[in-house]
Amino acid sequence: MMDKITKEQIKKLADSMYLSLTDKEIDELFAEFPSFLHKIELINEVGGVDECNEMIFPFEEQFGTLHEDREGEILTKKEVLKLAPKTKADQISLPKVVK
Amino acid sequence: MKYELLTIVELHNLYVSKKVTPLDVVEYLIELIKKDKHNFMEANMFEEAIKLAKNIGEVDKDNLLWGIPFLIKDNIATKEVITSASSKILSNYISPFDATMIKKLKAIKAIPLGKTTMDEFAMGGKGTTSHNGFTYNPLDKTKTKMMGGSSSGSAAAVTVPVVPFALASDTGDSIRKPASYGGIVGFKPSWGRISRYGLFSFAPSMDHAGYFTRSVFDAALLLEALAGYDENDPTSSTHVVDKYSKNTANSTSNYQIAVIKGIFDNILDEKLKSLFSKSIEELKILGHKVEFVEMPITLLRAIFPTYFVISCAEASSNTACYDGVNFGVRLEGNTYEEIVTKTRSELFSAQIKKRILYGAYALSKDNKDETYLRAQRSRRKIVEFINKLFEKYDFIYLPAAPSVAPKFNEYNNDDNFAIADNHLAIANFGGYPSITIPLGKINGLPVGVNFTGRPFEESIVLNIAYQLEQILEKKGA
Repeated sequence: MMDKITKEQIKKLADSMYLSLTDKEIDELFAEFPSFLHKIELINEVGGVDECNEMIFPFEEQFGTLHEDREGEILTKKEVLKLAPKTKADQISLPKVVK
Repeated sequence: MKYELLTIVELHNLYVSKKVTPLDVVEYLIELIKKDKHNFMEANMFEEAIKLAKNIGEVDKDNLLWGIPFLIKDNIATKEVITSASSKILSNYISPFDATMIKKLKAIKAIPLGKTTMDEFAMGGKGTTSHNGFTYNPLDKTKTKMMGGSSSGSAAAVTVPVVPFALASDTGDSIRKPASYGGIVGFKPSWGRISRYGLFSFAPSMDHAGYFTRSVFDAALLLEALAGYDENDPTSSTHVVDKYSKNTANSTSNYQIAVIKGIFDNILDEKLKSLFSKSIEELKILGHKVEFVEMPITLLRAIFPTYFVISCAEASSNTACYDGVNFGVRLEGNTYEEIVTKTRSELFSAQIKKRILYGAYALSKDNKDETYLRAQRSRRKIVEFINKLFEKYDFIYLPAAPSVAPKFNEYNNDDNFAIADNHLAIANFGGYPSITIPLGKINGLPVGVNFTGRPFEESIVLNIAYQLEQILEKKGA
């Protein structure tokens, strides 16, 4: 774990999340990051924190059960097109995603 | 008659006696909502509500939610109107389906009046980050004190009041702390007790569905209506749904109650401590045993950091779908990357971007083990300690917040203050049922207390809260 962060690293992190930050946003995050790192230090102080398994959900019990396949609620073509932000010739129009 | 002051049960009795119809009540409340200035509404469903009220038919004496109007936090999907999670990025999103909670309430003819403001994507505790601006605490005429968040709009709507109940969600304390600031009941049952199908994910391992009411009995009634397994939500529970309303009012067990000393000691408001201590005496008079217990300071100090790291990490992943292509408003760009980056950068607030980046840091290859995974291990340590307490005690009992509603600009960064301010997250770590009820007032503003119990023991959590509520109401709290 890093004990501090640079503005360059913040920018890199933002790029990885498809976020472009303004200079003001970078400055703010840079100023507030030590408080986040301090929180991590407080977690480190928990006795035996690395001697147990991670807790992913509140209960060990798995709730999910499988059910028979059956037809669920289906939207009509008209309903789908109404929900789409852009349509063309009765089809959903998407932005180009490959160069 | 001031219908806004009535509980679910009181409204139901009026319907049964035919002194008033749902249409009378709905039209009256719509006018109240239109005049309100506390900024708790995101979108209204007035037209639909009037239609439902007009066509509701004969009163169903056995269905206490028949014709009862309610509001919905804006991260719960509804077919009729936009569900934006109070974010610019979803300001055009209409869900093709109703959340299971909404379906269930509509099926028993409760009447939704609209959607309420919230901290954007439920990330926040002040009610200040909605794309529509601040939500004000109706009890503070100066408009300088917060309602609390993230369920700020639903809390304000029940506090004003305009509705007898409002649906909400709780990932760290988003129902139970605003309930304290509003002097109302805020309840989140066990994780999985109410289906989250249609509830937008913030941090799914800690997200709970719940609601605000004006009485504990109403909270029990609602749980009967909302609890149960839902095959659309793989995390919903198959545990038997109890007769919560019957159990709430009838049980007379003597309980063992723990007060965590390290949390109580870090509350600095002496008037609150005094009110709380008096309530302990009331519980003892009722025949319950109340004891102060120790919890290691390192565990107490780790509560908020553990919550923050896990929630940011889960949020950074759960907000990835909001890209302008899969979901939400789309800003123009020449390439896919440009569209996504522009959309997310301009339409997420600065607050959300920060949380996403803290989460991305915690999940990054170099930091994951010592940040995210360690927070998950810390979560286990905290839950193991609390589960041990629950072997001896039925409940943990504490002030729900360290003070009355703070001012919007108040901020205390002290590690010990954070213990008193954020301890309710324990119930999200362990999936415990947890309820806040009004305790009394300090300088005219309410403070609340909280009971947290063992998973799926909602009946006794509601029962102890009901017992204290009855005593405090008699004493004019």
